[in-house]
Amino acid sequence: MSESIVRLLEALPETSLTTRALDAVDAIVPGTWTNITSFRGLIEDETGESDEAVIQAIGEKAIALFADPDTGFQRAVTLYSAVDSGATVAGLASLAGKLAEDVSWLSFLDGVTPKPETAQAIDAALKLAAEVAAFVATQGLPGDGVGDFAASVMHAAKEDKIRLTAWVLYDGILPLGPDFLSHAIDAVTGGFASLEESPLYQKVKGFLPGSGEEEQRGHLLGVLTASAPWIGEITQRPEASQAGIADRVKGFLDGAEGKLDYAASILDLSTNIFEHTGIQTVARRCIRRAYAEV
Amino acid sequence: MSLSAFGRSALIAAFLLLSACSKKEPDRWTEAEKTVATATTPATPPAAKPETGSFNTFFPADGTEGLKRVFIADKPGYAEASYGDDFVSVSVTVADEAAKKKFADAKETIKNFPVTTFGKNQTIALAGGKYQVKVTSKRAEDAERRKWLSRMDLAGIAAVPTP
Repeated sequence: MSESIVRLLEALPETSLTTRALDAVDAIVPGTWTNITSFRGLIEDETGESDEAVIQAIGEKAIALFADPDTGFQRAVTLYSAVDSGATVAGLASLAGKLAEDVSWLSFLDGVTPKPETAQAIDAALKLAAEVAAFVATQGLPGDGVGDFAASVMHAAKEDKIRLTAWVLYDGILPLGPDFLSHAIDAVTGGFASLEESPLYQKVKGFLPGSGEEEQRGHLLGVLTASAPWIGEITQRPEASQAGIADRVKGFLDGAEGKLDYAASILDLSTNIFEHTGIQTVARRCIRRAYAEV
Repeated sequence: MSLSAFGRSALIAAFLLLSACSKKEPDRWTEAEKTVATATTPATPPAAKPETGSFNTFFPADGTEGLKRVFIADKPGYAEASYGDDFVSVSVTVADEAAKKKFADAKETIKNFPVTTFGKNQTIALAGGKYQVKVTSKRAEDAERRKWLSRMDLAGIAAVPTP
């Protein structure tokens, strides 16, 4: 990766369909997310420092840390980007599946297209697994690993919270309903053959902890189960119902009215929430480490 | 979107662009990017880093001052824990030559290790001449941060061998 963390962060748009989708998440589950795309701005936000020489020293250290592949920061950006382009493929499969259900003469496609629910559920499980892999790449396995990851999620910085909340709302509740976690667990437990078929799994499996499919499936289930408490906190909010989310989505996605089934797929195809907030997360973690090292 | 709403949005956008916090300054970082991109071998060899898990036992216990401890990083040569949702965080890193220079004029010590500050939110000890132990907080003053430094097992950290 030749791009510096400054270029990656500062290339992010101030406003886009992705930021509007994230603003909608922030309105449903307020977390005071702001879209920081200035490197200096992020240093000040993370450290509270305002002296320009201090900010310069931290920024230069962060640039060097990101450029060193051993730190895992580049790997994390690769993962967040892979999840979004992979999600696009799953979104397409899901959309094709929907079309096959709706249009009778396309019904023959039913046999070859994954059922939307399965595709979405596997997609959702893999995105969370990629989140863990990105965390491990930059932070290691502090304390007891998966258990501490759940604690770290509760402790997480703003970009992590908005991304994981968006994941619950758009990848979970909207396509699969409030009990989407059990769908995801079923998909991982019962449908490993289709997990192997998932283009996203092919992309991220090299990054996931565990050697071999069985270990990775076990890890995936561990992460899903450990995340149940914080996922539950979000799904229990009245504003986070399928109808509530669809209502917000209508505000920025033209033509989604009355097409709830399609909304999740359209969002999946047209936004890059993991990549956008993932770059912000990696930049913030990189700055935090630079502040510790400088 | 109505015209007035658009006007309001435009005003807010203009205000945000003007505020220093959101200003992008790509030129400011160009030199550092070039240095990193062109460096084939570092000017000084990188310090050897102890393996992960080397520092965990030297941190103040969970529940110190009634605050919950969350370990947030454990990488070779870098460990960090947060107390009370970042009321304070404590980190241990391998000090490079530039980092060690901060202690050249340090007059104060904690448990015989030199102590200094960085920026306005960090108080730091140099353990064993090779590890920086930093207490960082946006909310706690220097005196409070020193208390947290003294709660770290600095002698234990100083004794961690580098490979």
